[in-house]
Amino acid sequence: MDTARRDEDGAIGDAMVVAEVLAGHRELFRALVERYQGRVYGMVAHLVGDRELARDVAQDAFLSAFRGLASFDPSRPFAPWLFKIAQRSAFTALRRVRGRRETPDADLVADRASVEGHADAVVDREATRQASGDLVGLVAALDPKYRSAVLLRHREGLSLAETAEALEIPLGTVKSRLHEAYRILRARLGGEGRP
Amino acid sequence: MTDDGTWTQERLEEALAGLPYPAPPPDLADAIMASVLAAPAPAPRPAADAPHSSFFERLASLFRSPGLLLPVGAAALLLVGLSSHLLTRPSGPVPTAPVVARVDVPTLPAADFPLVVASVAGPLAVGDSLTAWPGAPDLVTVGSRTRARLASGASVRVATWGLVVQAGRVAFEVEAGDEPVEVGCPAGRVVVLGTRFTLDVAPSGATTLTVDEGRVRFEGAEGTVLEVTSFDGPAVAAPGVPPRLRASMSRLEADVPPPSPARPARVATDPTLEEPFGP
Repeated sequence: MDTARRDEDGAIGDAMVVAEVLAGHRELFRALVERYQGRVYGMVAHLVGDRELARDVAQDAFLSAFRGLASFDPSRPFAPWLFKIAQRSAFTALRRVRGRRETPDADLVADRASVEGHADAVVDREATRQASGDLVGLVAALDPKYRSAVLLRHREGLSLAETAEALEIPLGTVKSRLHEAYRILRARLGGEGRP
Repeated sequence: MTDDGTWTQERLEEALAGLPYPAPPPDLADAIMASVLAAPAPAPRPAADAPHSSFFERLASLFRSPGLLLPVGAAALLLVGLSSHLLTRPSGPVPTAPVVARVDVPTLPAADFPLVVASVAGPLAVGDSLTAWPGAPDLVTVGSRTRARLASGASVRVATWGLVVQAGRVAFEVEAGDEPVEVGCPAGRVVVLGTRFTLDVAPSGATTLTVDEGRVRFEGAEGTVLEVTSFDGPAVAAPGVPPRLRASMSRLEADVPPPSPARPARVATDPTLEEPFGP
């Protein structure tokens, strides 16, 4: 799809907005913020499990996107590119919070899997309490690497290739993570799972 | 979810697609834009119409740069001039006559005429004289078709039109060709189209011509012409004496001295030497 043209709602395409921003009209970046803030904030909130932290992460993600706007390929969709930045910011925030609360001297470049414990700790308490019968809670209880794959693939509707690009992992890894996420969710939903 | 309460893959994916998101804070967009407007402007994207994708485009861009125009242009002109010079300059002295070169053949058997030139010791200029060292016969090439082997003590001189045998025994091998090859001697000159022959010049100038293969024309200085073949035996001539076959020149035969004594070899330039014949 040519994102430089107006979409079905008549809105100016993402690529055209990006071109205008790069041309010096930075105030037009607001169009991209208002268009994607809900999806970015929601995804980040699911990843970090904390609304206040999600707000900071979303703000940092949009600012990083603005700074690196020249690296965006206008021939490709804008959303996967933005989600890659957002999930990168989310995992960075999770590592930072984990290091501050649990292991102050821990290596901040630890593997993403190492943030699993903290994600479980800071996830919304109310959602956690309802995890046994609530899909939201079950997703929040997933390992962040599975959670991010599920959110991008199904909630954001990215293709497998786009999901792999956003997560910066091979396509096969995306498939295996999704497969594992399905298995965990099915097991936890079990007989008592109700959507 | 099926009727028995289990989750199918399709139902699970459908539920995940409808996963509710929390609403963003109402001031989130303003906060983001505040940080965006305070941040430095993003770096501009490289122009798509100036990719500099090829060497020639990059080279052309150098010429478009005013600061580099002069040095790059000068370097290009110098390069073109140097290339033109290297491609067009002659590989040696510009010949006004057949190239005569001395060839080192230290192991040349006396009985065999060398058909393979081993190496060229150096070109000889018009007017140069060459005398073979005793025991070390010289080989001289004239153009691309003529080889001349100088016996010890033999002496030749380079004329504008070829080689002149001044003294001693010199064997020639001339490859067949369209243009005649001339070899001078005090008694005249030998014109050949391709053959093997020997000229033996006595100190008095008396010359003995022996044709080993083919046919030559022996032209006396006074204008007499004698055709000599390999079946005719030696022909003799002397300054002022027209060439004759030895069989009919018994008087001259006695005048032809034995081969020249060995003399030190030397290469000398003597511009005062006169050509036996004009070009």
